[in-house]
Amino acid sequence: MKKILFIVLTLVAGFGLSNAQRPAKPSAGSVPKTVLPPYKEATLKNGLRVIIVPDNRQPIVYFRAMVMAGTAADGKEIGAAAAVGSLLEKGTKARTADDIAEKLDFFGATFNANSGVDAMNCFGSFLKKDMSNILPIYADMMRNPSFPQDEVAKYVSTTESSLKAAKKNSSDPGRRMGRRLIYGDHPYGNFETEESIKKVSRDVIAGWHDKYFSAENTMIAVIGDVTEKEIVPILEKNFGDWKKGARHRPLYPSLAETKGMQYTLVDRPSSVQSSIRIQRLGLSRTDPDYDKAGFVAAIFAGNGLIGFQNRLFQNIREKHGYTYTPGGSLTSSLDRGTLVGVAEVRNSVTDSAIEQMLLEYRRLSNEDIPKQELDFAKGLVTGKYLMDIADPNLTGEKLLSIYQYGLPKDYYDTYPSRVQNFTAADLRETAKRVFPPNDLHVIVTGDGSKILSKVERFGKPKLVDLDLNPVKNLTETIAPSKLSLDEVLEKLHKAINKPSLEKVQSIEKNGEFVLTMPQGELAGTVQQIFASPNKKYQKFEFHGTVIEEKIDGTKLYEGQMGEVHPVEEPRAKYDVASMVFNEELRVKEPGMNVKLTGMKDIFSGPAYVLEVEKQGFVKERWYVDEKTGYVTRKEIKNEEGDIVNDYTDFRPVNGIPMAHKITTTGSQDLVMTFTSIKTSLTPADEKLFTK
Amino acid sequence: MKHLFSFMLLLAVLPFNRLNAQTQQLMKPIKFEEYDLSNGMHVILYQERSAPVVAVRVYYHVGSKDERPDRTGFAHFFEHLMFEATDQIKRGEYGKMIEATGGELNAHTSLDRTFYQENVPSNQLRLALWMESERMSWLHVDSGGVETQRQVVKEERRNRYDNQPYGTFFLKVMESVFKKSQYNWTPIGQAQYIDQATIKEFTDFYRTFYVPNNAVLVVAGDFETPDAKKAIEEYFGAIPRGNDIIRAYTPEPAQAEERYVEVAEKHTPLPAVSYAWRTVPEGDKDMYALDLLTNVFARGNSSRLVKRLQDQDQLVVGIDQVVLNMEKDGIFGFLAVAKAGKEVPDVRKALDEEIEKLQKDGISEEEFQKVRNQTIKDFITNASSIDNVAFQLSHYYTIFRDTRRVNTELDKYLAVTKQDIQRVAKKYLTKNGRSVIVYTVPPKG
Repeated sequence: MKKILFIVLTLVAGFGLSNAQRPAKPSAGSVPKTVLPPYKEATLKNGLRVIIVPDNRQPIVYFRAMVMAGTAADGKEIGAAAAVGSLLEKGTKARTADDIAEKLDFFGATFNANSGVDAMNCFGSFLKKDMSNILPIYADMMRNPSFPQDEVAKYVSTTESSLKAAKKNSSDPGRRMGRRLIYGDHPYGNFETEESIKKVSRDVIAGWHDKYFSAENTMIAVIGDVTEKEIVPILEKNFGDWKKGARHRPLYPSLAETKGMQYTLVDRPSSVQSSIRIQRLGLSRTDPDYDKAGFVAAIFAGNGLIGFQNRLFQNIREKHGYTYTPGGSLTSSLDRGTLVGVAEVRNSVTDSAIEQMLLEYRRLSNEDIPKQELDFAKGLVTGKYLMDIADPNLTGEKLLSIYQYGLPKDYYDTYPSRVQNFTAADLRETAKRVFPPNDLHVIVTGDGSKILSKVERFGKPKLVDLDLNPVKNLTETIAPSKLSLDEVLEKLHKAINKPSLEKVQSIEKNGEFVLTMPQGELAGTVQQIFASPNKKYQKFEFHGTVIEEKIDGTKLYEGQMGEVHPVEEPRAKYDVASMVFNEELRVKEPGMNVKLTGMKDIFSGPAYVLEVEKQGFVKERWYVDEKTGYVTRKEIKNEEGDIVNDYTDFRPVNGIPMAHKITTTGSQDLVMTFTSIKTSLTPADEKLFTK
Repeated sequence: MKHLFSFMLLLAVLPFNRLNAQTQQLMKPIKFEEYDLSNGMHVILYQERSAPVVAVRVYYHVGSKDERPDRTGFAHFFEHLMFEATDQIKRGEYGKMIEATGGELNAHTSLDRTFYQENVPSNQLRLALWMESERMSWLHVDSGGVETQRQVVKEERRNRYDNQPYGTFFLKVMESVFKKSQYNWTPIGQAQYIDQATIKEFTDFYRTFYVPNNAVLVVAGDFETPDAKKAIEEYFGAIPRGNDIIRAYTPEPAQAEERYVEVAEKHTPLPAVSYAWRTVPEGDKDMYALDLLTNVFARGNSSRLVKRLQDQDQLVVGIDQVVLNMEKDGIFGFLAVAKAGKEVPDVRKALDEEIEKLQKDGISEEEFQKVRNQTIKDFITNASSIDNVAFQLSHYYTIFRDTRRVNTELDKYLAVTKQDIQRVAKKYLTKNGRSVIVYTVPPKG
């Protein structure tokens, strides 16, 4: 018996030592000294300030220039700062974009410029031996960019399409709404839109650059294998005669405190998830409580410090499984930033997730942070601070921020010991002041028709659309109809020339399609053939690929490159039932059910609303235009969200008006433009519709 | 699209290899110390005390090529299992213990090896060593952990491979280029094999490969050498040596004619085409010229293919280098993703023309200097990162039993001539020797 027990033990314990001999978990050694590397300061003739952080481990140099103006300096031309950042490397008075790319590539050097709210950072890296080849290029890009017209146009059009795509993004509208609520007309409330970017002309971009890129308004950090003696003369040569300019010192309007609970629902029709954002006005980087508040924000939602052990993550994801990526931060900026917690959750748990997030907000003020959690967070935050020192770029960023925000010189050196001295009582006081749990903005972006009641559990939300314009209410207004159902159908049948259409046995449409996806557009040709009774053939062709769909009246087939296969239930059943040949003429036939619910304004003007049911389970809504009598829109109800088909460009085909353009929105954006539509009075070839 | 390019970048990372007379002036040599424990574990210490941080690496010489064809996915599955419980570390605690120090941890499985890494503040060195020793010898290979990780790995397969645009690219390349060798499959493997495997098979795998004589430990960064040595002996010294490992490898026979693969996946947003050729194992003299060649073709905005296909002809949204230098074999190629509305045949025509042009005319002096400069910059950038140095040290020891390559490899690149680059382009980039992989686009996203 003993022997067997021994074998079991060794199996479980692997095949090494027995437990008795095993070393136990070690305790940590003493905390290492945690000061930023020593650095030198210098000032060029024109007043440009320079920080040098020598590091001679390898012959490499990191360059970082901070221009002290960012997107908040855009004024009325929103997007100017971002454009300047992107276009610096696209040409100077002396060099074309190609020249710059060639030269930087040749030396294996890098260059990037990013604009933040308060500052723009230009950074790059190169080998020490290439210093006098690379710095003149950096200086040229920063001092003499030419912003060529064609590059500006390219930039504006790419930005426009990415802004267009961002609007479809689930969290972006909420983020914009959040800025508007906190900042209103304050420059921090600026955000680019498809309209605003059009105003960003070459002159605007060059004007922005001219105003803010100057010696007094810039600070340079050089980190790496250089001494003050080596680098200062080179910087003097390349930047020393740069115009002096003046330091940009923005005067911001004062910001209103976030008071009371305020709910906003950004309607994103057919969204399958809700993006929840709970926020309030935060602190300026120089607020005496900023460190404590940042630490509390880390415990609350990560704040870029605590990855998996923050409360939102543990609660929303680990305990309840509502979402994959909850998080949050306390932003840092010259004027007051934002405290925010976010989560993307499925529609059905929108209310539960809001409830848990609000609960976590309340806990910060109502409870002391338990000792174990506090110790864990202190260890993590101070440890991470140590880790960051190993990254020269982060060191450069820290040193520049001392100057930018006017922090005490020893701010970073004393940071770990300040964190170690935080007490639970201090942090709770800070939370009460900085994160009062009854003064918050709750912004939910999602499908209003599905989640409105869930948000209303907490308070009545303001309703806005994706452009943040107010929407009266989501329960749609359907006006009483001026006509009866039979009168509407008569109008429709007259409009589409019923006597001629009745005789038609098949319709063939040929044309082009464009499918818009977040990755870009896909274009090709489309062919559709509809035939009596209830048959359909559809073919998309693009880049040599052929995709076909067939309905023979009872079965649905799909496939590529000439090979089709039956499609499985339940989709096949649904698609087959949906396919009714010349359906406008047949709404009163068996298997079809039609009701008139009233009138509604849609894109084409006022329309009669018909609720159409096929085989008892396919539910559609048709809009019959009041003026023309054409069906200009069909909505197909679907569990994953509605599909909307808009019909335009009606032109007669053998005397029958037919839409030559169909625009589909919903699960995907598809535009079909038909160049030829033919009707035939004889049946189509049967083989076309079957396998 | 972002996903694609970051993934490709992983493939294209050049192995950071060797230095001597010429190199000494460029890159400061990495000074390290190495020794074996009595159980066969190789230890490499690299002291670099500029920041209070220490990196711990354990590098096991086991990858997907060590798997049986009917048990693919095992090596990568073990990477996951290694974060489960040990005798003294409870389930779910492994990550949290490192996170608590402010540190970071990670692991990665390739075709040839699996490595584990912790970067921690230097006062936590003992903790990281102890944790690695725990899982080297006292991992719980039981149904609880196996079941959990089966689900996690399946999810990873779905997210990273099946549901990502071009996510299967790496799989398709390897399947096409390698028909007989163990490089035919990739670390993610086939899900059913992990489901079919018994606990005993997992235990056997652990006992075969997770043994000190198949592992290299690197400690890099801020530490006192005597303290580190003492702790290493304390935690790893008593782990018993495992059996010698017998490895089966089937060399890939020469390819007689072009292979063509068409991939139709519903998530493909834009058509794409890849050329891939079989080349040479890491360390072969032609590898250095091939690594420079790929940069002439496709590194940076001024490279040939980017300039021609992306800027000038506006045919593609991007070109990725596909370079894999493995222990027993290699791959060289490109992946080009067409712009919306552009066709694969046009992309191929431009690619073919550029390849033929280079084969016929070679490269310019300017290009030659450029790729040399870029290589020097890479080596120096890597040498200034403790993370990269730690990786290279363990890698060179494992693959070549020659840790000094960390200081000598750059010279091999600098010894390559312009003629070498043209020669390897002619020798390897042949029509019969290539695989052509085309991603087609369905009409529905």
